[in-house]
Amino acid sequence: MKLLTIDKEPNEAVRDLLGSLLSEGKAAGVLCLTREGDSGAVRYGLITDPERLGEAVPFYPAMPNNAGKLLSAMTLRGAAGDPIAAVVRPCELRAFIEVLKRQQGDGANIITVSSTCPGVLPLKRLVRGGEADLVENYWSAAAQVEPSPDIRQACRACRHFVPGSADFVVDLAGRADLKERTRVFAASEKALSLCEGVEAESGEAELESAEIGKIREARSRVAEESDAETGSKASGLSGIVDFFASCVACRACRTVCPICYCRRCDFEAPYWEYGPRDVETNLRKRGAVRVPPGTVNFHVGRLLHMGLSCVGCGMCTDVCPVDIPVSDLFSNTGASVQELFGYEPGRDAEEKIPITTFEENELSEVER
Amino acid sequence: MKKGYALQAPDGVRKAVAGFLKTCLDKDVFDAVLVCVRSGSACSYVLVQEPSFLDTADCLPPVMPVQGGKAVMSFTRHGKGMRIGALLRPCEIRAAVELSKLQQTVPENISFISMDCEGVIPLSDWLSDPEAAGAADGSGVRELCSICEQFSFCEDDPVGKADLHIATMGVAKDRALLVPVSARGDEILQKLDLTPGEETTGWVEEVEKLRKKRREAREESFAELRKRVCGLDALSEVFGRCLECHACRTACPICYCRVCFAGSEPAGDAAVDYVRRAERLGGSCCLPEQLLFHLGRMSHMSLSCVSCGMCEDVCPVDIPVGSIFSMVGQATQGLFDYVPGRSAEADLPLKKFVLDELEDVED
Repeated sequence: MKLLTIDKEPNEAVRDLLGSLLSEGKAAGVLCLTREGDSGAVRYGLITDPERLGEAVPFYPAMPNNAGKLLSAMTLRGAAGDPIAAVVRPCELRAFIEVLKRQQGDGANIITVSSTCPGVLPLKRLVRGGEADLVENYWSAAAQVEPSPDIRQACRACRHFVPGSADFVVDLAGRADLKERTRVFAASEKALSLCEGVEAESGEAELESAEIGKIREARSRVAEESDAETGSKASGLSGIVDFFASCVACRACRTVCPICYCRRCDFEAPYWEYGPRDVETNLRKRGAVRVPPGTVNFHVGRLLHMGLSCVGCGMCTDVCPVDIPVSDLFSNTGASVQELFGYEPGRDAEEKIPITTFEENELSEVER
Repeated sequence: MKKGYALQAPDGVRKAVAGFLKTCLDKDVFDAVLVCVRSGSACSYVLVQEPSFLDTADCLPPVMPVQGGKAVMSFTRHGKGMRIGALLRPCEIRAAVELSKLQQTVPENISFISMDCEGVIPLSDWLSDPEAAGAADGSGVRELCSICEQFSFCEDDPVGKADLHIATMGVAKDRALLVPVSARGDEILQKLDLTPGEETTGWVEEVEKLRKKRREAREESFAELRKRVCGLDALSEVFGRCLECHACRTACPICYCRVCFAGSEPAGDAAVDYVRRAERLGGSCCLPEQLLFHLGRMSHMSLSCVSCGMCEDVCPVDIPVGSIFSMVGQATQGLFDYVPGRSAEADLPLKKFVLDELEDVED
C-alpha cells in the first residue's frame, strides 16, 4: 500500500492533507473535529476555507458525536454534490456503513480519512477538569501496546481499530514517533489520485504490522475480561434489572447511538404506556411497581433492534448521566449475536444485515 | 394560620413518613402510594400497594432520579385510576399540575403530599459516593435548589396544589408536622383520626427566613448568569459543547411530546445546505440545530418551567441548562404574572386570549 511519511505530528500532518484537498478544489469541505482557540468546545465542524484549518484538531482524543451519525444526517436527503473529506475513526466509519445499509444516507463523494485508532477519552472526564494532563498522557499511552486506562472502556476492548474501507489511514496506534512524524496510507484508488499535492516522503508498506497485531491481542484480552465481568453482572433477569437499576430513562444512549436512526422510537409509542388497568394489574401481581415503567423493556428492546449492527463505539456509556456501562453490555451482546451469523458490522457495504436475508438451513442448533 | 398534626419521628423523619404512608394504606385512605425509594445507589419512584414494602423501604433519598411530575404522568396519562397518595417535592407537584393543564395527566384521584424540600444532590455527586454525598449544611445541592424559593408553602394562597404538607423546617428534630392544605387534606387526617392541634408559627417563620435568603441568592446568581449568556455569541459559546443528546428534554417533566420538533422530518438540511452554511464564514459546526434546539425548547416550555433542574443534572457535558432555562422562565412567566403549578384553574398564558395585554411590546 502506498505510504506517505510527513515530518509533522498527526494533527498538523492531516491539516496539510486537508488543506491541499481544499486548495486544489478536490474537496468542497472537510469534516473533522474543530476547536476555537485553546479553550473552545471541541466539536465536529465543516471547514471550507483553508485559512480556517488552524481550528482543525482532527485527532483530538474525544468523540462528542459519532461522526458516522453526522455523515448520515448530512447525506440523508441526498449525496453530497461536491466531495467532502471526513476525518472519522474506524467505528464511526463502520457505523456510517451500517446505516447506509438502512438507506440512511449516501456515501457517494465522501473522502474518508481514518486512522489506526488509539481510542478516545470519556467526555465527562474531559469536561470535569484536568484536560491538559489527560490529553498529554493520552498521546504517551497511544504509543503503548496495552490500552490506556483513561480511554473509554469500549476503546480499551476494541479489536476493530484498523479501518477496512477508508480512503486514507493515518497510522497512530502503537507509534512512538508521533511527535515528529506521521504515516498516512493511501488505501484506495481514489486516495492515490488525491494525495499528489501533499509534501511527503513516498513509499510502500503494509498497514497490518506486528505492532498492530500485538495491540489487537492486548485489546482482545481486555474484551474477554470485560465480557466475563459484564456477563456475570448482567446474568438473568435479576442481573439485567440490577444492571439498569439507576437508569433515569433520559434516552441519551439511544439519541447518540449511530445505529438508532428512528425518528419515532418504538419505545415512545403509547401502547407501552400504563393505563389505569395496567397499573391495577401490575400492582396486584407485584405489590409495588417502579415508575415510569419499562426500563428493562427499553434497553433489551433497543439491544434487540440494533445489536446486530453495534460497532462498539461507546457513545452510550459516555453520555449516561448515571454512569451505567451500557456499551459493555450492548457491545458484547451485539458481538455474540454477530458471531452467530459470521457478521461484522461495517466490514463491507455489500454485506447484508443478517435479519434481512433468509437462509433455510440456519441456526439448526437452536431447533428442536 | 393552619395548625398541624405532630407526627412523632423517634427514628428520623424519613422513617416516620414511610410509616405514615403505610398507615394510609392499612386504613384504606389510598389504594397505593407513590414514594421515592433508594436501593443501593439506585433511586426510583415506586407505586406501592403492599403495605409491608414500606417496612424496609429506604424512602426519600436526597436525590431526584426522575421528576416526580413525569412519574405521575407515566401512570395517569391515559385516565384516572385508583386513589393514590403521591409524596412529592413542591416542584414535582407543580409539574404534575402543569401537565394536567396540558392534558398529559389526569390527577383526579391523586392526593398530593408535599414536603419542605431541602434540595436534592446532583446525580453525579450522589453516584460518586452515595454515603458522603451532600454537605450536612445542605450546600451540596443542585444549583437551582440552592436558589429556590418554592421549597415549601405557608401562605393562604399555597404555591402548589398540595393536599397535605409535611413541615420539617423550624420544627423539632424528633417530629414532623402534617399540615392539611386542602379540603382533601382535612379528609385524609380525619379518616386517620388525627387532629391537627400544633401551632405552626415556628415553621412559618423559618420558611420566610429561608425564602428571603434564597430570593437574594437567586437575584445574585441570575445577575452573574445574565452576563455569561448575554447576546448570541455568548449563548453560542455556553451551548458550544452541547452534543444534542436531548437528555435535558427527555428528563424535563414539561416536555411531553413523543415526537419533538427537533429531529423531526421537516427539520433537517441537505448536504448542500451544510456546505453553503460553512462557506459563509469558511467553516461551521456540524450540529446546525445546536442552539436552535435549546431556544426552540425554551419557547415551547418556558412558561411552565418549574425550575426543578433535572435538565442540568442529566447533561453529560455540564452545561448550566437548568439555570438558563429557569432564568428565562422567570422572565417569561413574569410577563403574565403566571406561576406554573400554583393553581390547576389558572389558564396557561398561551391558551388564554386577552385583548389588552403586553402593551409595552406594541409599536
